[in-house]
Amino acid sequence: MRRVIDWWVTPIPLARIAFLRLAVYLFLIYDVMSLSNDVIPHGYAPELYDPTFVARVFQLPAPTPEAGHVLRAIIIVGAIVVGSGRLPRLGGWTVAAAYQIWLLYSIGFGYVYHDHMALAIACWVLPTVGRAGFRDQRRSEGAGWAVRCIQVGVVLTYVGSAFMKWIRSGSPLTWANSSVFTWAIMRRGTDLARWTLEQPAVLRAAQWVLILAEFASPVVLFLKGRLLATSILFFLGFHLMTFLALGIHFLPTVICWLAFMPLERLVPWAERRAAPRLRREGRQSADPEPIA
Amino acid sequence: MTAGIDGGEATDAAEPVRLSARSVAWRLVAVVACLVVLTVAQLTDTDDYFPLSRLSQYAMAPGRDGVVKSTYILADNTDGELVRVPLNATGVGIGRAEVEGQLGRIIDDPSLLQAIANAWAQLHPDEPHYQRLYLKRDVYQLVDGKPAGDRETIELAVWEVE
Repeated sequence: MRRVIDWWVTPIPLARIAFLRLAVYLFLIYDVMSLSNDVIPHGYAPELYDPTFVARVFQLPAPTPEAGHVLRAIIIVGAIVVGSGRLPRLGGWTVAAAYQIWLLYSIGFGYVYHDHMALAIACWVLPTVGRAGFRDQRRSEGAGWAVRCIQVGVVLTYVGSAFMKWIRSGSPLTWANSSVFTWAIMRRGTDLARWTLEQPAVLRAAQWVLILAEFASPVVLFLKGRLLATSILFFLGFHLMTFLALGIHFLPTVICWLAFMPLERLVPWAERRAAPRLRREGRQSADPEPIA
Repeated sequence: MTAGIDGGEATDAAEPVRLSARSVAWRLVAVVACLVVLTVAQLTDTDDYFPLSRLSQYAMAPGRDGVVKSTYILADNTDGELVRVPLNATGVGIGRAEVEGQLGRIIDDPSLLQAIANAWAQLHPDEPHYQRLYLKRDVYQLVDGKPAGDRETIELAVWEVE
């Protein structure tokens, strides 16, 4: 039990939180402008509002275009403030709440997308950490918990998806041997992908690879170094392929893969790279001796 | 510049910033609660607990000799043309998946299509308005995992725009 608890609060440098904040909050701006950008137009079709549980509990009324504009303004201003390291708690909670309502209005019209789970979790856990600087190498259990939550959110996006395939089709084998990729490409395949409709065996092989990778995904929580990097590249490569084939990019999940990367090393790495050059320049003026 | 590096190296070995027992406790309770909700959502196949909803995208398994269905809306507009209604965020603001998600509700009460005509008129006031909407579905047959034969088109609902 002790080991499980320690795993959830494994200390990590606060600098990783600073970089994650920058990436996540900048991404939110792109998200509300270009991905979940149906909230304001939804305001023109309030009759089709079909609220989910949280929206019903808080009695969120059908969105209006004006409400959409206000929410978007709060999210964008808040994201700039918090992403740049200011008001990490107050600003962070404000953005989390506004973004949650925004998403409820985006998915509250009959279709719930599944690529935003880890990102929504990130918005709720990042404010718990408090102040974190880009050079702050102090390790913190609070930072570790927040990063762990985002990592687990990413992994559960794949594992949950594998289990749903099992639940929906009765067996993982049935899904892997089905024509689901044909179905997807017939409905929304790009010109790059349509040739595969004549090659159903290729698509079935891809289905096998996908469901096996989804079931295996929790392994990444325990990998380090090159193996971790290879796994991350595999999943990012998968998202690139579905983007090229179907126009589905899963970017909100992709951005959360950053939580697996040692972002805290960026500043020391940049400084190490800059240091010899600075030293060289300094010596050239004062000391002609070459440096080893 | 070097203060950061020195500071970093000095604190690397230092004791990490710990959480109090209470802080750890509520964090773990939150994790367990979320995991329970997410598990229930998968087992009961529901989207209701968003953002902890079922992860069911492409979870269905159409058979190799199954059918592929695709829903869309056509409209007669005030220019007398038959046009395809753009079911996306920049078109009418309602997506194809959203229409499919509420298909039963719309077929039972086609007056809901009025909302789509209203949204189009308000989002694109300078474009020809819709006068009549046709909710349709194309059905393609698969044979051994490949599309075969012509599509069959079914009209699911028609609505005279008010």
